[in-house]
Amino acid sequence: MEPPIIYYPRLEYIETVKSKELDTGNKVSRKSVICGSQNIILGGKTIIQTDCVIRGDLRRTGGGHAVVVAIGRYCLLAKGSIIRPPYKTYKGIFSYYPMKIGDHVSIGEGSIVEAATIGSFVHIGKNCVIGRFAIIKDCCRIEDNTVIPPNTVVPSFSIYDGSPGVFVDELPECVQDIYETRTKDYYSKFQPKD
Amino acid sequence: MSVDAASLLSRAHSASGFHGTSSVLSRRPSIYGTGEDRIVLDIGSLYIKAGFSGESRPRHIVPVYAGNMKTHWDPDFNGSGGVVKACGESCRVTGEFAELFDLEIGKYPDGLDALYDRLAHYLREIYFRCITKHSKYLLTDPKQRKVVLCESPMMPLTLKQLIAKVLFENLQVPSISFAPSHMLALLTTGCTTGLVIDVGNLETTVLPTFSARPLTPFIRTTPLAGRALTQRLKDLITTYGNMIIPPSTNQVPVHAKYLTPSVLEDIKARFIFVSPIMVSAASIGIAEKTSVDDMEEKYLSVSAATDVHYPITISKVGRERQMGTLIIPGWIRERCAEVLFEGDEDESSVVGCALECLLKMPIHLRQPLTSAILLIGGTTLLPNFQSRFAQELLRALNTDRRFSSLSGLASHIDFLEEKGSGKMFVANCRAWVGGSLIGSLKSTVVEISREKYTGQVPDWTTSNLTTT
Amino acid sequence: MSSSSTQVLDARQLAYVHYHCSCPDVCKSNESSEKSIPDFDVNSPRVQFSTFPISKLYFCDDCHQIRCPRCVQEEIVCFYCPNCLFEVPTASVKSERNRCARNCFQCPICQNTLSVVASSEPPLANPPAALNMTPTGAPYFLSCGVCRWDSQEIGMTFEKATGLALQLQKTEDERPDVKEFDHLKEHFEKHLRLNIPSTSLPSSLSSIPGMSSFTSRYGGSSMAHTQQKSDDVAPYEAVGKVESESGLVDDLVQLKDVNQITTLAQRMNQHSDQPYKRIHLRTKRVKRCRSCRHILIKPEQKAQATRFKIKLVALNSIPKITITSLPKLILNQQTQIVLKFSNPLYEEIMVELKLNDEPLEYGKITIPSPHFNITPYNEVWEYDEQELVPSKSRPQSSASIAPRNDIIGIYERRGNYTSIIVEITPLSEVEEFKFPLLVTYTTKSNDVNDGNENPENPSDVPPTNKSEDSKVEADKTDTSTSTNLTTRSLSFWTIIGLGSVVKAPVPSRSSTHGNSGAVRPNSISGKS
Repeated sequence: MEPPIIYYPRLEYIETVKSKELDTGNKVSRKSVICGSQNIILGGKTIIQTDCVIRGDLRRTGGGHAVVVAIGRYCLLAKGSIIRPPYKTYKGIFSYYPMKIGDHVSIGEGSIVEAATIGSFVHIGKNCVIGRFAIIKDCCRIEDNTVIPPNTVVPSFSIYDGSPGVFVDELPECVQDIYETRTKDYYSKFQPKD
Repeated sequence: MSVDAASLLSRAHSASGFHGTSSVLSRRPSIYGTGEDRIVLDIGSLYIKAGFSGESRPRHIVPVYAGNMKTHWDPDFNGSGGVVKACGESCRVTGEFAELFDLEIGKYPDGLDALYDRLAHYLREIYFRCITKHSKYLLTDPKQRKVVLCESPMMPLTLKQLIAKVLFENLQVPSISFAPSHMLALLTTGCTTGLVIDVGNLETTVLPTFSARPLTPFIRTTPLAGRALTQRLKDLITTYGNMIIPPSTNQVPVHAKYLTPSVLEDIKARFIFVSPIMVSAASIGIAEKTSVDDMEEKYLSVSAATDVHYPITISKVGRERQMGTLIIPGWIRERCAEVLFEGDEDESSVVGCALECLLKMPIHLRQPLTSAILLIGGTTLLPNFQSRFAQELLRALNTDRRFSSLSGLASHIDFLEEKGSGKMFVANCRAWVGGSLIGSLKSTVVEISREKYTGQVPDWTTSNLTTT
Repeated sequence: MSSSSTQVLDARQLAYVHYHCSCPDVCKSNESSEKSIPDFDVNSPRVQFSTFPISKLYFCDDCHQIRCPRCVQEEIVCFYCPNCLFEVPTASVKSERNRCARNCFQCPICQNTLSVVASSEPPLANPPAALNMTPTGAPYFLSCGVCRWDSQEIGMTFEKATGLALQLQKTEDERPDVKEFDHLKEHFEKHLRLNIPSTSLPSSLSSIPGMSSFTSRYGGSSMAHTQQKSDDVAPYEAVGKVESESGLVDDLVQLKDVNQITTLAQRMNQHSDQPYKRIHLRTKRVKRCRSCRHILIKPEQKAQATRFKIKLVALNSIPKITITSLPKLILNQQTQIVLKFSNPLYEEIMVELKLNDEPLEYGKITIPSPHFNITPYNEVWEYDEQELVPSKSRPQSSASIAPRNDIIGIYERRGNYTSIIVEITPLSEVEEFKFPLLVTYTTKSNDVNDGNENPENPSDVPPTNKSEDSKVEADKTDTSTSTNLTTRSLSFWTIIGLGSVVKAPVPSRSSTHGNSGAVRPNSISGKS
């Protein structure tokens, strides 16, 4: 069934700068918490909803400017989802590591993501926990309430479910088209209302 | 040529006449990189065992589900409010744990077409895919591997034809060899003579095998087997068991709806055992049937087994489960299996069935067979089954007038699992292991090839078909 | 496993459109579609196996038919480990028993992937053999990040952090049942060797041990008589013995805690009684149409690639049906639902809808406009989201829709889709209201090109002046077949599931009636 048009209060969301050369069209809720925004890249047409948290401030120790969280185009961080870069202690030094999220990725309400990489065309359900340094390849689906343990690799065309999340089924070949259409559709139906 | 060859197998079943020799089956296609391993399948009514020949155990034991519903898993697209839902890219066929087939054709719940659908679904999944999160399957190209199919002699011909149809037409396997499961099981003991008693789910089949020849005319069967045990377990728990459904702490009677087939199967596999003590009166030598209503009175006082508190799902909303407790009285655990040993004139007990078979045998074969009893099938995995079986056998030989002519055999009773490699192979997988064994022997296994397949399969009941 | 009974509950709230595949090997009686098509039984148990969401279906261009997962032939092109994502050469797949031969293991308790951990203890001065089964401090072990199981518990440690599977290989080969099996095999092979030459019978007879003895006795071959002694298999000596567990019954009698006994599911998963499990491989597969052998799906060989060299999926070939408006189904009240048909093709298509001839027992369904056309797909629209969708929500756009709505039962016509209205009156309170719908679509393509070489023929329906165009089209639907265009049509059944029917809530009756009872299509658009 087709999702309906979703209206949001126009004043709540910031639509990112429409500078002359590129129209990024990201929609970021003023009620979200974006830390270290200078370390965060949004690819464009990405929606960050109410109560989301992105910890761009948790960056690798040592000086200099670095990208901490890179998010691609047409992504959705639904209400209350949290993006936090993974950390570990390597050779006695505690450090955070950057996180990369591809295009057409939707992250469900209340999910917590500490993955190292999330590919493109990925659907993560509600209330999921994606553990530290997990790698989710392109074209995957994580069902609601799934817990992906740290360091897990989720290969392409997989459906993962449960706690701990395990492979339950394969996705059909056209999943890339489906998720692409769906994220675009969602973006176009996410409309302001005064 | 393969049809001729197949006819030999069918004659082995029927012990009927010999119709001249066939041409040599010498085709040995070399399979890319992987030798000549075959796929060995043992398709039961509750579990399908699958693996490769030459291996000592099946790769997978796949429980069978009804496949009567689809999971509608594509929930709302995130954030759209949880109202709009659709069934999309992650939809799968599922269902409750359920029997795949019944021995009587008329009883196929949804007709043969539906059975075909289920079989095709399962076999495809076994070859390529994954059904549950716990098992992954053979990952092999069906077109490149021949199949050894373990078949029970009582498997309905229609079912065999359906299996062949799925394998040949849907999966396009190059050939199928049908092999009698009782004899296959016997081979795993290293012997070729024995009285093989298969206590499966749908029925118990007793088939004497002599020098690797299944003596099919002497076959005896009884419906007292796994399914009867499940039914008895369900009756007993609904009559005498109790439940605690939180938040209440009171014990309430058990509603049958909580006793789903998978719950019963789990209880059966984990907590049921066969009591070492015979209680039932045996006026006719074989224990008389006890009705469910009399069970408590009869067994409660003579049982030492503890009650078991079994966690059970009461309801599930989303992924939140509400759990309750099912209280299974100890005596039920101990005495549930009595149903297998109690018989009457109409329905032989498992023991009666074995003795009737011996009674029909030529006298000179009785003694070697009695000292080579092999119990196979999942139900025989119940702890203590074999020793209780021996006790009951002795009692019947000594007291039942019907079997007085067999009483001399009492001192010869012996089980193949007591000798040789003992329980090296698990009783429910023995037929499969045997299939794996003959599939791996450096000889050609008789088979029907896809080119020769005409919709008919060799069977001892229709052996004339294969000679045409 | 045990959750299915409760999942039924969830399913009730879900709406779906499933497509039926008339697999050629299952429904052989499927003849020319010109004749009257028999009714479709939505309640048949077979439906679960023959209907699919559109995403799971393929489309064979040569057969011009839908293909489903069970009427395609699959061929494995690549094996890979889902954890380390390394490809496994076909030759070693069998010897590795479909499992990863590197470092990938599954936790025996929770199935999670185990990681290799270096123990903090310093390695001993004289390290023992490759696999040390005593926990005396080989430097590496496996550890589960979820349940905290670690392989030191069972004394499994490793000398090197790589090639763990190889280090374990030896113990796998030494399993008693493997030995016993090989011994049995040898035993029967010896028997066969002795018998085949002696009986002078074709070798196929001895294919099953004892078969030769059978023929020699019952076949009455005089020559075989002399061999009678040898045909009994020599007594077999087992190499090992597994005794039955004597304490098992006592343990069961005194059982207190149910968790002491492995569950059926654990047994099923763990029937190789090893405490560890190497990770099972996955495959990439080519899929072919079973009727014409043409390839429908061809993935790129590389394990990590997600692209396809060939991808003929139904999503890009047949009209896609979506339910766009679904009010609550109320007993004995007429409700309008909206079905949106999208055209993925570069050609205009004509759609014809048909219900079962036999009316449904539990409801009345009418389709006011069973014939309609859909304008072709145009890539320009897809990147034109700003224009396309917001216009739908803009109030002034309703004016532009209006001229297209004068055909009764057409809800909306835009881009490459047409939405139609279906009127439903449930007559009984069923858990799942579903009905079959036969969809026939016809593509028009030019005689010369046959629509394949130049699908987007400029002479075909210019997508610019849509409003005028569609009106004309609708008028000439009936005559289009007689023009100089060749037509290609395909019929398939779909099942439309709409969830459960509820009783009318008594107080708010007038308001629901106002929504659902109105016949004019605009009443719905006002609601969305």
